[in-house]
Amino acid sequence: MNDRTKPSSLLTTGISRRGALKGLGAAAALGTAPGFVRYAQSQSSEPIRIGFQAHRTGIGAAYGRWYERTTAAAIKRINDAGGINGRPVEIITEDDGTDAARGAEVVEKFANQHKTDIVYGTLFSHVVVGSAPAAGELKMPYYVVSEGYHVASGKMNRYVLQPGITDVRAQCRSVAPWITSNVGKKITMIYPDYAFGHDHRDFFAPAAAEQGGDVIAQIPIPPTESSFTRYLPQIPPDTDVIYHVMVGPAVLTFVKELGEFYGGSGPKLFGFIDSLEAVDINSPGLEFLEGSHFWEGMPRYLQDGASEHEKAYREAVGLDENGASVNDAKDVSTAAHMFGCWETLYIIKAAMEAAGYRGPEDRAKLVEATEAMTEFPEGAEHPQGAKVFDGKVHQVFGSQNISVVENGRLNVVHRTSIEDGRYEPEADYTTQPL
Amino acid sequence: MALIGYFLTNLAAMLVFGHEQWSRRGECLSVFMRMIARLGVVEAGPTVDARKGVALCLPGAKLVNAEPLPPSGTLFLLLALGSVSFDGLMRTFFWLGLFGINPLEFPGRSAVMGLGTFGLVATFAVLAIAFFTSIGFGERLAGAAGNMLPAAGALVWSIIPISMAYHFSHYLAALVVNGQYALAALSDPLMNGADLFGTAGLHVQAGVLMGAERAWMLWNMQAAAIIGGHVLAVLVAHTIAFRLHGSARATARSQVPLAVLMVAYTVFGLWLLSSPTGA
Repeated sequence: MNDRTKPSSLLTTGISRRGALKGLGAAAALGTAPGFVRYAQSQSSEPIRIGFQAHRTGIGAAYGRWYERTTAAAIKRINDAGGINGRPVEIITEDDGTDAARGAEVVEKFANQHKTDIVYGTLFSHVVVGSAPAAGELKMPYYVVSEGYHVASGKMNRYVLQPGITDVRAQCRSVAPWITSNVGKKITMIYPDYAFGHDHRDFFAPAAAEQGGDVIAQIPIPPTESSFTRYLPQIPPDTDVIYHVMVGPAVLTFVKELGEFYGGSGPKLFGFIDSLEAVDINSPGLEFLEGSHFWEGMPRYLQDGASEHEKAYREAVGLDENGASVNDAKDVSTAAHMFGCWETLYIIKAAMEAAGYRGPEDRAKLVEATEAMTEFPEGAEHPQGAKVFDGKVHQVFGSQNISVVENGRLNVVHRTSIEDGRYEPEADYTTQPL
Repeated sequence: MALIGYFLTNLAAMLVFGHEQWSRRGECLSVFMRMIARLGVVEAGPTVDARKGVALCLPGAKLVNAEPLPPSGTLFLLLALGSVSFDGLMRTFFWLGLFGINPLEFPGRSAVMGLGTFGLVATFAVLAIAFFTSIGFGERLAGAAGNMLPAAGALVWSIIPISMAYHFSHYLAALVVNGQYALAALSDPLMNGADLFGTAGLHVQAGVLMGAERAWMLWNMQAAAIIGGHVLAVLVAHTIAFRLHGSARATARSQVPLAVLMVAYTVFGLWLLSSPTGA
């Protein structure tokens, strides 16, 4: 299954190539200033073709649907403003079935059949890990929106980049200072017993300890578990905070049983919205979450202090005030993650323009141009906020939001600094040959 | 490629055996469609003045009067039911857990092709064994001697309502959402940016399945179909059995094992609907 999104307008003028590969922020600021833009006839009016590896079916379908909508909105805005290097952008979507083996096939199909310039958009970690070798062998720039630590870990390759969404390691680190100084120091972690949960266990516990916190218990839950009552007595009675990252169909049961176990009192809760992405926070059984805190990559609910850029982004994607589709109030978005698609596409645009990208022969230059980026200022292209990019680990760093559930909505109470999430890089992709 | 292969194979077979023969006995979709058409409530009526009449009948009435199926047809119908049942079973936490697959991190279908093939064949085998055992046991209880295959061929028609109920319940959610993707694709079948029916950029309303209210509605529709399908199946089976045995006493005895199987299958169907799924 694939389709192409027609560019909504074909412009004859465009932004010319910029030689300087440094500080995209400065370049973007210049680009918006009249007089600095040298309008030039582009060398080719052939569209730039971006292969979108989408989770249309399989376990990633709810995320995939919103990744597609965000992508369509960003591409429309990019094309309305003249495309990339004066060329319209065409999105070619292929369903990977949220299937690792299929993911690699899709990358090959983009390279050999659709002849796309790059591949973009993958979320689920196992599909990224499954597809990355194909991207590396085909020398196909592969821009993922996955939030996994696998990119920054150095286990991928030179062609795999994650410039539009922060990774789970940074997210865990970012929230640790706020939890230990505002919620409590004695922390019990409850997490699903596989890679996703282990990432939280391995990255949060040391970060909390650095901040004077103490993870007094770690309770792994087998992934196939559908009732949790026998695990709850393992929570030490002197726990201040329960840090929970349960995911899957049993989340509602987990919250309900936790509520029944404590009967309205008990430790405070801190969770990751990954548990409830695309789920209405007002679903029956979730009442116990009132007053609890969540990490959110980008706020689901429209906040009072939302910037103009954020509002414009929400309108373009089609989000109502509650973070559901404007066409369908029950269709709750994956707001905490999907902004990464929008921001990644703008980074691709900026990198292609910086590299003077003409076609597949410039793919290596495109990777180098992306690696050379350092800062992305908050703006229409980066509505989630300012970010810092580390070209060595191919990973972006940014601010995180901590929200409280109040009257059935998530209100942001704290925004972490970019520095809160930084860690010592463990890799350097730039030493690998292109 | 697979589609072209399928088309060419069937085209060749039709040239060899004739269209009527092949679509009646060889091409599986035609065979299946012909079978499920017997669940319809419209039938050909008497011919008056060379004009064919059309009459209404009770659901399942055409199953009761159907010619007994040969053993291959009987197995085919059981496979049709078994495949949908397994399509449900293979997504459950239970099934994935049996083979050590983490449903929260489902690796994708490619990784479970071997397992899926095994499960499909195993489900079919278990269902076929259970069905033939029920029929054989029932025939003995009713005092019938000899070959039980004709009875199986007649009674297997009662599986049609169950099969249809499973199809409805299992694919309802997919139909409601993926049906919208299909509508969008219809308007632009060649993927060249066309918009033939104005649905090319259709906003897929995934919310139709979301929220507690919708889940309640969906579950009740699915459960009602499963139960309704089985009730109809029992009625059809009883009627066929009465035709086979002629007496109420023998009929009742012959139907005990099959009725037990159908109740068990109802429970299985409802369990499938309520099980957490991960793939």
